[in-house]
Amino acid sequence: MALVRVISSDGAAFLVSQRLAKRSGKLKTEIETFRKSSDNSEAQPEIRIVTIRAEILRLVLQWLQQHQNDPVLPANQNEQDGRGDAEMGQSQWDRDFLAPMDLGIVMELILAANHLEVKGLLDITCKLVESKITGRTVDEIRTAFKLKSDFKGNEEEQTRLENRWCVEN
Amino acid sequence: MTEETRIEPKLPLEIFSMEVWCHIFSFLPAKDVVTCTHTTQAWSNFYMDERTVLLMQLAFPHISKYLNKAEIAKCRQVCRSWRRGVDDLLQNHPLHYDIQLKSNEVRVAPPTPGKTFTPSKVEELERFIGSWEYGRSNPLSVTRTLSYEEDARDSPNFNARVTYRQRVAVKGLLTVFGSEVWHCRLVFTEGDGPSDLYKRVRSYLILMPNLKTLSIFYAGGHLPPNYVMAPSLQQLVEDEPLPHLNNLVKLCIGVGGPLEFSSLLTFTTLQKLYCANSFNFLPLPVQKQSLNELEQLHAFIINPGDWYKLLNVRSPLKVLKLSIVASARLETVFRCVDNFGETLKHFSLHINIERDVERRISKLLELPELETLKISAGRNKFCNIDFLLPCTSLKNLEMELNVSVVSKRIREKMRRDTTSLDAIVKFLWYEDAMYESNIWELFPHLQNLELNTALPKRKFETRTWGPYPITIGTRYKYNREEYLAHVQRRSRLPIN
Repeated sequence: MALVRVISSDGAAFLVSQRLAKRSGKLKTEIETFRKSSDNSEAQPEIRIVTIRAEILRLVLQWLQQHQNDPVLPANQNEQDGRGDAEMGQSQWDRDFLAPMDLGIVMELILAANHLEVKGLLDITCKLVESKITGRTVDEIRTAFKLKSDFKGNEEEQTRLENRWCVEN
Repeated sequence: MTEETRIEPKLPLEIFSMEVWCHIFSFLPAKDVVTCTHTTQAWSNFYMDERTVLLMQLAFPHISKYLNKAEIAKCRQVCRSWRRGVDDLLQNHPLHYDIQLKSNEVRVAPPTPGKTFTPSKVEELERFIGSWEYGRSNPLSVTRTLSYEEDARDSPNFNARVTYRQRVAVKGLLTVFGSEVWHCRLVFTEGDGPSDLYKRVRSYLILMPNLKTLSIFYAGGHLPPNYVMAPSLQQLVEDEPLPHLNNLVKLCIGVGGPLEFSSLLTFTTLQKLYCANSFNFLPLPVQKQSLNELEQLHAFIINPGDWYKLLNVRSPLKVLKLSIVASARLETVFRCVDNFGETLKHFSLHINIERDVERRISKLLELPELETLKISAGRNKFCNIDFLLPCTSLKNLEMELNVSVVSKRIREKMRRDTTSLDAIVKFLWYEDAMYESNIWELFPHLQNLELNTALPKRKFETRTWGPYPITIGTRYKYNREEYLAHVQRRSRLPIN
């Protein structure tokens, strides 16, 4: 089985099958680029992902492993049709996978899924964050994301007034 | 470097306390802060504590696709960092800037929260300007987008008095907040002459010196004939030129006459241009002072004179979208496009006219850098696509064209028998068997090939042709991976 070495920003290496790695658009391109530039067709590709740390990369690969037999979702053609159908792709396994995660990790996963072009994972993580925002008050959002308001003086009131111009249309 | 001047490396906390670093980070974009925090342990700890603050700015473009505009606006109230993330997305959304190659329409406004000032909202605007909030709350600060529609027709709903009040109100608004508008969309309805419209738009633009994108359109669609440039209007443009908008990168203009004429002369920093106007596409003076930075152009070719003007454009275009309404041969199109051979990467050609079968196209499409080509040929047919041969970098090819309605068996027979067409690229009769064609070898970078044979009036209907069912409109999608798998499968077959 052809393997590929994927190395995280903090230097941890993961050996995965090329078939699995190719389910990520980014890894697929990297493997093909490696093939073209390498004289030895048997050489094992090594891909360094400088923006993703080991903990997150492990989760992405774990998700890919679980979904390796799913049909590949088409990549976004442009910004207009970026939204995927998260509900369709979300299984019980996905829910259990995301359930114990801190929202900080989920956000890291969103950026990692976007960087590695893993559309299914991007959809379910975005949907999770969306569910923590929709229908909640500003204070509830701050609690969910463990955030403090850092607005000074009348900034918060100002922001609220500005928002009125966006929403009432 | 001497021993004395060498600076020993220090840990961040030996230089400043974490509070000071936090203050410094608050001035940096989230992307840069995240990069910094990967470098040392102290900053890494800060990152772990502040992830939901920092990363929201970067993740918001993805998350926002799942939020409605009320929810998006609410996120601005959570904390400063989130507000910055939301504002950045809304104010710099790619849809403000891009001319989409895929769709046939250019989106003039992004799907973001924003305020449209229409005639029916004049009272609301007046109320705002007369209220205590005026000056305290800036209606344009969130999206920096002004969408303004003006109706000068004399009708029961919109009479001259309402229009006058609306103009006064908008001028008042722009006098205070105009410098904060980055994206402006102006829509007019006929009622004014070209010189009056020119003067009014000019008076609005003077109040918006920091515009980055500008769209000026007619609501009705049909321009009155007097919008063709006349000598008196030329004098007007010289006497009262439009203001120089030094930040303007995109212009969508659907209003001809002096406005278009003067815009193209004045806004020399344009990178993206959408000319929806049928009369004056690219006035001749543009040749003298060419648009040196123009990278994307979407133009309609309606009059024979438009070809002449296009031939004289010397901009380093990367994206070109041509909608051709005038009668023209593809040779003419290709000759004009040759101008951009060194830079053009994406080309979309939409031919609206119906013409005879293109038996043989003698002119080659000399675009060696071209990566994407979309040809919507409507009811036209291509017997031969050898004109593509110089496009050696081609990655994506999409064609919408007419295909002969014959059964699969006849198509197979024709493939065997039509070597007489002496085409280099095997294309005709291969529409449903493109993996058998040599197109994948002739274009080594070709990744995706899409053929859409759906005709405008007969979409995907199935008819019978003798004993065989035939689908008239079909969408064939091919890609290199499947081609390689096909080749592999074929090589395993036993040789008879």
